[in-house]
Amino acid sequence: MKKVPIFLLLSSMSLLAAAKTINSNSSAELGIENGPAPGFKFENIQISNQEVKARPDRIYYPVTVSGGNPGKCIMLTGYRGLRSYRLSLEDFYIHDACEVEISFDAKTGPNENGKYTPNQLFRIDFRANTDYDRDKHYPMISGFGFRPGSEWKRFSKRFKIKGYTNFYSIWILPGVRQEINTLYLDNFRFVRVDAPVKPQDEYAVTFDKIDSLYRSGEPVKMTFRAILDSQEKLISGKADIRFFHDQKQAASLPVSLTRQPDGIYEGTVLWKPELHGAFAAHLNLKDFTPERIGGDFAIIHDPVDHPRFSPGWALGSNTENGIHFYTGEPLETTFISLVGGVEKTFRDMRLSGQAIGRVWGYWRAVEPEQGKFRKEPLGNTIRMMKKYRIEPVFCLVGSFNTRTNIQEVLKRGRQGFPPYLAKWHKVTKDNRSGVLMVPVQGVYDRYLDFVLNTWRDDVKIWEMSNEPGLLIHPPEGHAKWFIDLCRYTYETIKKAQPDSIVLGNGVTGDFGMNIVGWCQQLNRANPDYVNWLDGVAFHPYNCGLDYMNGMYFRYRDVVRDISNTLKVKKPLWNTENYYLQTAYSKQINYYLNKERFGANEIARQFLDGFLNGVKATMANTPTAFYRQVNVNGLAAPNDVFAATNALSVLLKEMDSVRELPLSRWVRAGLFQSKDGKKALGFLYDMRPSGSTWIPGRASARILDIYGNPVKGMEFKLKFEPYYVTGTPAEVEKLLRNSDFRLQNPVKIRARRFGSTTFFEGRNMTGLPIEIESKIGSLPVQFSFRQDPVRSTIAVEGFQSPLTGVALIPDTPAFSLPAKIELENGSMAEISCKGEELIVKVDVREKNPRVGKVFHEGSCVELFLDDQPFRNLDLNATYPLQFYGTPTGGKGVLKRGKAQKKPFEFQVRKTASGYQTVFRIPVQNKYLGVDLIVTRGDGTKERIKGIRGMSFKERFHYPLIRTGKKDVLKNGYFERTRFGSPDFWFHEVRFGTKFLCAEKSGCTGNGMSVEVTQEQRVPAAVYQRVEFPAGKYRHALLSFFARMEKVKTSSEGKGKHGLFIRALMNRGGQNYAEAFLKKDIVENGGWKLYQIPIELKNNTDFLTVELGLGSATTGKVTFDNIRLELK
Amino acid sequence: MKKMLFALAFTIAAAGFAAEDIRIDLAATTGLVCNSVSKGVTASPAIWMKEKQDQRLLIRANSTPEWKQYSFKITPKADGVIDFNVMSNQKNKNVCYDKFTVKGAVLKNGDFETMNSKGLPDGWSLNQDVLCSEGAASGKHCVRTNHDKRAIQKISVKGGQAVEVTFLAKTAK
Repeated sequence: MKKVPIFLLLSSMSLLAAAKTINSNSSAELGIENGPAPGFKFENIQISNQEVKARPDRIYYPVTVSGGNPGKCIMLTGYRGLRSYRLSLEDFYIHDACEVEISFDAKTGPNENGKYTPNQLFRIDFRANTDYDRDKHYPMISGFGFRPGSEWKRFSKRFKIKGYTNFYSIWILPGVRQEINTLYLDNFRFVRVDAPVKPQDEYAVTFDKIDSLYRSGEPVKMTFRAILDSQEKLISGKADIRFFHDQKQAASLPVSLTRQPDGIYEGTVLWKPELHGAFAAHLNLKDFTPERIGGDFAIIHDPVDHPRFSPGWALGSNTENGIHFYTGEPLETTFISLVGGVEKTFRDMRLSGQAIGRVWGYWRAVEPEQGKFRKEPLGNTIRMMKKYRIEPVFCLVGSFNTRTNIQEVLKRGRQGFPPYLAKWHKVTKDNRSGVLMVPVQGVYDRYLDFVLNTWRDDVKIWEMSNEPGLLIHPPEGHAKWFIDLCRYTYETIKKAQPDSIVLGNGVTGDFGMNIVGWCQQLNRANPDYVNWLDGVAFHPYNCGLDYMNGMYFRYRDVVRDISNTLKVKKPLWNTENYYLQTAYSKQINYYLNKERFGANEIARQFLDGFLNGVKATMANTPTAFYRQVNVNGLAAPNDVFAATNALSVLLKEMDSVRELPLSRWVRAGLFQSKDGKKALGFLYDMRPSGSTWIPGRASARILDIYGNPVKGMEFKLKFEPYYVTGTPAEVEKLLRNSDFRLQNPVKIRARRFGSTTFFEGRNMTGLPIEIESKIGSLPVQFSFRQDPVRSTIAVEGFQSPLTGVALIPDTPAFSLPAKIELENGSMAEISCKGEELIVKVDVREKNPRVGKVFHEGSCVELFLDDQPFRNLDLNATYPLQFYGTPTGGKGVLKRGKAQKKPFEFQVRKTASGYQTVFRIPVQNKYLGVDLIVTRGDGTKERIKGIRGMSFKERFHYPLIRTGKKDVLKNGYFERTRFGSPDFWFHEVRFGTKFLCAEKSGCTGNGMSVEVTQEQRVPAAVYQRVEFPAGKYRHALLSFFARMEKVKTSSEGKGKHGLFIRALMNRGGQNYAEAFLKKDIVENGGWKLYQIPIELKNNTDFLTVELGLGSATTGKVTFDNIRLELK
Repeated sequence: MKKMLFALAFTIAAAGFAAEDIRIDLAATTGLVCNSVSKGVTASPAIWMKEKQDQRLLIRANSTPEWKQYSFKITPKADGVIDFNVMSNQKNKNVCYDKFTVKGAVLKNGDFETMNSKGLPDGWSLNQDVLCSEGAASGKHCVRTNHDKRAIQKISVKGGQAVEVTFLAKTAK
């Protein structure tokens, strides 16, 4: 073993005593020599085509080498043919404004050609990545240049940064494009200038395979290298192997870390798994919690081949073709993303189970100058796809769309089209975009002829350019021009390849809100355009999943909406949708963040697509299949990779698919083989909280999202699909006989004030919508749109049994003004004046004695719970504790800490003792209040019958009602004359009847609206409430309703059926139309509804309307209508 | 601002009513309940009166060139007097009315045939130009009204006693 000088050891130790760095592996010691560099990665690299041709299988990554300053260092090789790279460190989230410093040691050496250029420029790029919900541009781009020599030299710079929502990046970039030196880095420190000294406990996991990709049964060797604040020779621990997507443990293996001469602890672990999936290896040490670098890997099935057009064949992505026009020499170099290698890109596609890939056939790549055509570099992509049996979907042209100023575009030189096409540039009517409306004859036909003739043997699926319909106000004749182009393309290709597939249309975006209306434009120009395409390419951005951000079936709806515009139905092909909304948390609005999602999202994208009739899906970018954070030199395949691989394998021999309607919230389907002997079922729960799935009894096998068999009687079903294999009959039997238990979609607790019961629902589903539940046998709909966790409904006169509802024990209830007697004769008078609670306490204590601390002497304590009907699962809320002493001392505490809550306190002597008056601002109608009088001798006097730890708990407090009036008058319809309720009004038309009658309500009188002849307008009762403009932003409306024989003559998407509307300034909200988009027709018994209302336009009024919508007959009766304004 | 809004609401209401030119306003401080209307008739509270909307009921319908019968039934909420305003919804469009019959209360001279000393229909307040002697549905006379030219009568009613009104109306030439 090489002797390591003492100073090296001391250097290592000194790192432990310095400020903790924000970046990882600052010392560069954590990698294995000649292995990858933990904490560093190439996000992209550009290599000459010549070199790529010579070595297509080369993988490019930063390397850990010896010769550091001291110890090891990071080497960024000056590769043969290298033109540029972007070396990136981690994502850095810094939420506070502070000053940071970037510092590092650097030196350079000869490149692979043996060439060395002294004083060569390199750059540090330091930027905050945009959060588009806040900013339009990068909020910060900074950096500096540095010119390292052949000896180590330290470089540093400080930056003042602001806290930001999205991550900061640090990139290292070469400053030249030829003969780039090999760069060495060591001691790369990104620190907060004010950071405290802290041990830099961290460790890196390096695998024996650089691509971190294994097959089942293949041993996985992991080397752990850790910096720990210890001098022990040996530290024992565990290597926890967990599934990445849900952190469930897959294995726990002992690991012994031996302290190396360089001070680093090192140990290896060998795992022979029989599992598949994406995993993360963690080091579990008893006395340390070091941070992890790297350690992500995947174990995949052997890929399978699928027949063309089978479901298994229909999984793909947008292929990395290596051509990026915003870099220099785009056609002479190959751009490699963080996949790390050219051939690796395609090999990984195959290994991940992809059988199709969208290829961008940029016109400029084929005809960079007028009349000069070339096969390369696109030819290389086609060859690679052929080698790895990935069918290309060739996107002709790239895009015809461009900007308004074509000269500026040409000057920048980053366009995907040859410059000579600029002569056909047209600007859109809104002057926001440009488009190249090139002639077919003599221009486009030459491009098409070349492409077709060059690749006709390898390309059988063609896409008619990218997103042609993106222009909001296209130039005159645009749609017709495009249709002519499509027709020519279709006829030309079909002549050469009768069995080929031509995709067109290319509609993009959220079709339901598509202000472009591309399909309508095409139909207006010529609805027969569909005859010149075999399928519709579409890009469902913001609608590419059937569950996203609380919305359901947008993917299904967009497929339906597009199909409905086609004169002749054609299959839809999802050829692009880089972003998938993550199910469990919302992404920051930035392209990099939105391209990162997980196993369940990719699985659902494919499965939802199949169920919605999508022919094939090749929507995502290659980088979606790799971990982009926590990288050890080379991005590891992630759970998207493993889940796609598993799905592809499971789809072996599958031919057709159909949906199985199992429940409202569970999406399920069944693939079947052509011979009818095999099936693959799948299911997932569309609720964030999921459910407990009890599979039906059948002879079928259940597998997890990675195809691992699972056993058990019940499973937690969430967004991650389970798969079921077996014969079609058994698979279907298992699924159809399944039970899904969400025992308690809403957990209900209640508390009473006199005859009013307050029901608080706690949302167990995670869905921010209305959720059905039951109070005893009474159906109730809680709304969780405004508060996704809790919602309260108050019901007057509720008599039914409270089965399944936890009831807070009743306490005395007082309507103000009220007098409350305490145990020993002291009296409290509580009243309310406006928004001021007045509590007057006459204390019987002739000789009060004030203590050093208020509660050690005579005092009056007033405890206030201002939300007595909220958080009913929590008693210990430490309510506000007001106190006053006979000498005028006062204060407010919470949990023993003083609070800044202004209130008035007065005290005066009386014959029997003293009188205190508290005046406290309050806004709520109901309060919980407790009083404790402490005497000088330490004895306490409380409200009769009330006991409890009042400074901490509140459920024992008496309740008071301040006298604030209900917003809606006569909501219980108790005041009625001759069948007409006071304060409620309505129009009468022939065929409508309104009656407020005794005992027709749920708990007394009720108001019925009956329609015997369909009306063109709603029949409704209404009441208007007024308030200061803009005072309230939200409202909650609750009511009982019972529908009898209600039916609609047509589906009104919310306009028919039960009518619930709130009118306000310059608008209104029809609940069913706005939120449900379908009619409410629920005939039967009473149901309690809670409806959210968003107040807009600074409204100073709200008119609540309840009844039956147009085109509806039947009868609905209302009771207990309440409105809460917030 | 509120006045503007109410004026706007009134204008909008009026505009919305424009297609329905037949209009009879029933004003009663007692408050009124509309129980039913015949086909084509709408009975609306006067929304601009806010909480007192039930004190004015607007009976509206579309007139036809020929005489057609309409009816409605109301119940006063208390004893009192109803101002029975026969008018139309627009200033420039006239509607003819004739043969008012009322059950449950007393409406004098519903067919406008009995004249007083001034030569105007007994029991009604109206100007001479409202009285029409051509094309009546029954007898010789009817009334021709618009939004500003009205025929008005006060009717005494009992609380809780339903009042059913039938009348004929047509578009005036």
